[in-house]
Amino acid sequence: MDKALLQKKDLDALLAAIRMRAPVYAPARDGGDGGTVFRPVESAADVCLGQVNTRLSVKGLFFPQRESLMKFSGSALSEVTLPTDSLVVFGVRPCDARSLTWLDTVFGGGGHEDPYFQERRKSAVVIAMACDQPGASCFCTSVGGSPYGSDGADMLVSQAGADGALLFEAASEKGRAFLEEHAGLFAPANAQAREAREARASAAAKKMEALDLTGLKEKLDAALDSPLWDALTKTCLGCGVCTYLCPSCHCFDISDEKSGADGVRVRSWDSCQYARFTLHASGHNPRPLKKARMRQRVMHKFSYAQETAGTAFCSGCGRCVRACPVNLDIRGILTAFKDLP
Amino acid sequence: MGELASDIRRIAREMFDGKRIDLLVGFEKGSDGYRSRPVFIESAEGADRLTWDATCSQNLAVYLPSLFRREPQKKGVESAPPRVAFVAKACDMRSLIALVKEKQAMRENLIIIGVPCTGVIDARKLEKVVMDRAGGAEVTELVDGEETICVHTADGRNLSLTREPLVQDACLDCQFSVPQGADVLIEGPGRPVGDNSGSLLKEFAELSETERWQKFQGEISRCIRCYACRQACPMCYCTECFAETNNPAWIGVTTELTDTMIFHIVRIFHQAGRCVECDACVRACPMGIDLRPFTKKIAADVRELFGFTPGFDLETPPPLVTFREDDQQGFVTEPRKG
Repeated sequence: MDKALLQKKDLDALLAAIRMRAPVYAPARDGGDGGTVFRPVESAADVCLGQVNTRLSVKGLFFPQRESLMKFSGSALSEVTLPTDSLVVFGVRPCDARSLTWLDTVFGGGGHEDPYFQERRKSAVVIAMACDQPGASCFCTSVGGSPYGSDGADMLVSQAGADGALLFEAASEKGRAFLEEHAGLFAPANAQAREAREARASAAAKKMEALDLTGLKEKLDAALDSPLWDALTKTCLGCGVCTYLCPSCHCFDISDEKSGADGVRVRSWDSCQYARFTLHASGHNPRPLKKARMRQRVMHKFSYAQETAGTAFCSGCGRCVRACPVNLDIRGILTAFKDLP
Repeated sequence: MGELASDIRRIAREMFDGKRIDLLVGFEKGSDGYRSRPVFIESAEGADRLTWDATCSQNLAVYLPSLFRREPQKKGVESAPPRVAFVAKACDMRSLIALVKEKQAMRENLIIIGVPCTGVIDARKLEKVVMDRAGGAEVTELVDGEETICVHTADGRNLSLTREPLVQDACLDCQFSVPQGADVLIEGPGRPVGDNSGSLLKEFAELSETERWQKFQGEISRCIRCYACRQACPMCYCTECFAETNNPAWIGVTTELTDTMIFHIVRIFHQAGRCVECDACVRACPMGIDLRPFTKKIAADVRELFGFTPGFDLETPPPLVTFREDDQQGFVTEPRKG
């Protein structure tokens, strides 16, 4: 089964059926200001899909901000238990799901398998929720994505029409198996639902203004020493918001947390926007200025990733735009370089 | 463009034309309709980028220390410190003065263009109201009025919203909406004096010790340690923060709760007698963590114990850098009383 319809009132039954086997993570309220984060939900009432996006991307479920890699006691090492439990993530936006494909490359490509990430990814089912109401800061269509894209997801769910039915479309073997497993709750997808889906998909994409970024990589590569870097980053505060909220940023630090002779080796997120990120033991810092740090962020996403992975590492989720304390908009940076003669 | 914005542009142009400044730090229109952002203007032509409205929320004083920070220089060829103008709300102005007191800049190198403030719009409150009224739509344009705010949404709707519920909490408490001692004061209405007697603190104080600790842990457990609070705070200008040194490593670098709690406790305590309650830290937090009960408690303690409100006259030294025989010390000897 590739496509199937679920009545909205049956979402609870579906979540309950999944929860017999695995916890369900979905966007849920967090704090007093209406924001959401991915956290375990018990019923459809806990799920909050109205938001443009969750505060933090889905990456933290696979690449947690703090993760124990191994334990030690004196000189004796011991392994930590790998996270092999199944996990179902519901309501992931297509931009976030697409970013997972890049994390797959980083943590699984080139012969460097990261078991911690891989185990989580292997045992998870990612159910994406199509996006009918992109926000003012969203720009997925400018970077090759789509509000109805299913890259990186096992399933794409969309509103199938005014009657409140949800259309589930499998996007991987895992997704097909999921639909088979819960076949009792679904009805076959009719032509009407498919047509409604197409109309909604094209309407959603039209709600965003797509930037033309053709040739951006070449422009960036030729402008490493451009005074624009300084001019465009003067107001940057040097916090880690853009990188920590980014679904594709994946830099980390490794540190030992010790108590006496015992301890844990921990991996935690790090950010190229921090002045200490590149500080050498000698005291030398190859990126002492914020213009160099912001340049690194932009170049990594839009030039180096093109070389190593054949795609830009930006899904246009807009979190860095929305949450930057000084509204330093990456779209402005990209356009400025694209427009260079 | 509002009247205040055209006044700011005119003054900026005059200052550049008269060669009185090298740089002006102000606000320009942001990339989405309900945000403005800081901008550095370096010539009279650039002055046209300047704007002023209720979305100019950031505390621009945050840029002052780095503008005046000097690398070691060769004798005889020292470069002169810059002459900088700041567009400043009363809270920005108070932070600027507090920074001058801490010798982060020379007052004579600063020109403060004071702008009276009627309270800035809290982007999160606005997002929430628009969410409730218009689903997931985002705001593409905002027009500020005296009592109402008109917003235009991405899906083509126009909403007329009552202004007061959208004003950020810091402004509701504000007692000094007109900058005092500015070099140029732009004329305009200020906000009526707010009530900063501490209903938030009373609420917090009425909780039991365990509940207060739980509240603190609950807020801080959502911290992702992006340091946005620290970076947005004008008074957090240490070139090396205790939270990041690794030799010695005072605290761990991860989001382990004990580490994030110590980071916030130490950061907030370092603000005693310096914090002007502008809420830059709260605004910058991408997780919506409410630091207000803690930051405001420190400010209220300094008022109560030392009769000091930071950011005014340059002569009075901040209480934590002086010693008097009659200084309060109950908070050390009987901490549970306060």
